[in-house]
Amino acid sequence: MPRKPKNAGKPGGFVQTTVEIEGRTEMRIVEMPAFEPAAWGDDAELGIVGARVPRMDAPERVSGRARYTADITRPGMLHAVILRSIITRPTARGSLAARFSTRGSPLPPFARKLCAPRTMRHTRSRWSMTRSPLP
Amino acid sequence: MRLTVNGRVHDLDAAPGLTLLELLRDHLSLTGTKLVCDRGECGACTVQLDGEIVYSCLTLAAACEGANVLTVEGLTSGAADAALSPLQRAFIEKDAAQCGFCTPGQLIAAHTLLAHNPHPTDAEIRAGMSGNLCRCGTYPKILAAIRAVADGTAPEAGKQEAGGVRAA
Repeated sequence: MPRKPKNAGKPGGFVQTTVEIEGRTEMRIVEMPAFEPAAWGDDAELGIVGARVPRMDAPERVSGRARYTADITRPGMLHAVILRSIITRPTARGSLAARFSTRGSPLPPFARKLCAPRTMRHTRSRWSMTRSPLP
Repeated sequence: MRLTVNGRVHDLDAAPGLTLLELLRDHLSLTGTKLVCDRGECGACTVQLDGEIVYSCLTLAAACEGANVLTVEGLTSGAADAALSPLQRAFIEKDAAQCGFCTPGQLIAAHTLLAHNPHPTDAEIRAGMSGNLCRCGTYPKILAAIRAVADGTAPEAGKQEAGGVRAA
């Protein structure tokens, strides 16, 4: 027989209850909330709950004007894709015939850095990048 | 090649492998039509081609020489909200667009369905819309929106509630 919890049944105190979990019944001691707002009455006038709330961007969505990420194109925007190596273990299944070089690439320096073998050596992958036409 | 899109005539160069979807989105900047599955399963890329719906991701642009294309942008008569078609207003009224990504394709499919059959039964609406998927699961609301247009109970222009939460 467990001892009666401290401040049993009082706000801020504890109450003993039983809960059913997957067919088993367990005894639990739960804390009573120190402050519990009163429930609203049946005749309460509610401004938000149950009110009709039209979506702010619904006109954009039904007209095709809504801009999703895939719809955005910036001048000179870079497009990147990760190329995964088909050779998972060079020593076991293949040998290194050539090393990828970014020398002479028309890409800007930060993109060349991202494509560099050193950046990607841990993933055995590399970035491939192309550029949208500049205006 | 010559292509009429939403009533506007375009003279274009289309590479042999270019799809109608790529032509619309990348060459004409009509990004209302969406790319999702890229293999004719989802219907997000649905456009009207000479009065019939097609999956524009599976349609080669070069095969559309002289054709008349309608996209979601062509359903609206201007930039203002008042220019929305009854079908578009019904989609807002019935909250048939949740994330909205499938909505352009849904609208074109529904628009074409109603053009062929202005007073469809619920079963005919379901059959007509069966090529368009919605991952948000707004199917009952899409059905209600099309139902409202077919029954003539879609909201009129200018009587739409303004968007936004109103505080009490």
